[in-house]
Amino acid sequence: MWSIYKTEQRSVEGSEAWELSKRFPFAGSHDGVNTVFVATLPDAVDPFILPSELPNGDALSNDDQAVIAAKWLYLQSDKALWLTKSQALMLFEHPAHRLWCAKYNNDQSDQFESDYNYVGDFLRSVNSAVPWPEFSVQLTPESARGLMLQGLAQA
Amino acid sequence: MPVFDPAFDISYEAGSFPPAFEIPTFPASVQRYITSLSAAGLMYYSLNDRVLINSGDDFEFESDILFDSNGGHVLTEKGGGTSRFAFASNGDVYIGTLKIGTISNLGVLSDNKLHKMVVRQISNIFTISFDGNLGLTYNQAIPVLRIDALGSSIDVATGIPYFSGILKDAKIWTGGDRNNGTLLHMPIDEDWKTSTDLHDAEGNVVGSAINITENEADFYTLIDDGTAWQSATRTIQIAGGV
Repeated sequence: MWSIYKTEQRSVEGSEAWELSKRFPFAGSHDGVNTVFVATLPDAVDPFILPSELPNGDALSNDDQAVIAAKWLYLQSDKALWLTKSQALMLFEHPAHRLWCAKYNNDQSDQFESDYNYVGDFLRSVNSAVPWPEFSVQLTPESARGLMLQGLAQA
Repeated sequence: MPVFDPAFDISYEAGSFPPAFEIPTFPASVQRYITSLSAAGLMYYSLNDRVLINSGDDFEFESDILFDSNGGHVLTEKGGGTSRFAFASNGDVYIGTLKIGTISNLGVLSDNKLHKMVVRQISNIFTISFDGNLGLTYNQAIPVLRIDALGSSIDVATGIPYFSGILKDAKIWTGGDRNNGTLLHMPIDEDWKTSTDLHDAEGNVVGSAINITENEADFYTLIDDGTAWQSATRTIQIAGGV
């Protein structure tokens, strides 16, 4: 299992992220807000374990897992998000993750547009009232990130 | 495995094997650990000593490489520098912040197979080849390369991630090419179970595995006449075979 903590927690002496940082001093962050550790702290308190299926056993889609993870990470919790390596790899490849990280270069405008439309279609499938303007060349990755945050709050 | 049968213990004088008797040979199986890096986990190999390649210096880099369609950083400078050798997902190749060209078949190469990548600069001509086929030529001296790491990203918002896939048997020749340069050979065949030390071929510690655990290394056996590596859970084809 891997774990994700708020990056700011790493400097809080005695915190779980601080403990894990001693073993993984170069653990990194894709988005500048959350730090990824390729392990878990055995005695972590009340970690949120990212589900891969519903209580009835039905599998959750990648999109569903991405929304659950995003909503949890949006909370300012000092607790860990635990997820399997395969879930971490899936989330890393998910359009919502790229949109959240907002690191597109000039050659990736097609990727940006594709990710934006993918996330918008999904959010509006959950709640058709989510405001999601049509993609335009004026749209910046930073503004798209803001729209996604607003949409997640309503999804 | 051959079994010793005492009933068949025939003693010969030293050096007097009968001509008809051939000692059977059993080729030892080739086995090793192979590590798969994950960009999601921000994994890379950190080098203790910087490899510095000034603009115009001859050098050669070779590695078995398996990479995904996202591209990634292969050689990088740590500590906030901008020196790097990296592929973007569209095949663009960067040395530092300079785009020197495009590997048109990067999508073909990200086929989940191991490829032999050779990068070299000789007499101010920079080339990249895969499995012996030329992939890119840049007819100018490339910018300085400060190599502190294999696989990490650097602090420029290019959208190019850390490296995902396999880098093994990395060899860097400086001050020349493989024929006359100084070799640093990193097999990268550690299991990472008790140590994160990265060793060279002579066993010296030359770096460390960052954000890499034993879960990323599997034990493989070379199979099918050397055309694939096989572990308990995965088979990795070697492009081009032996």
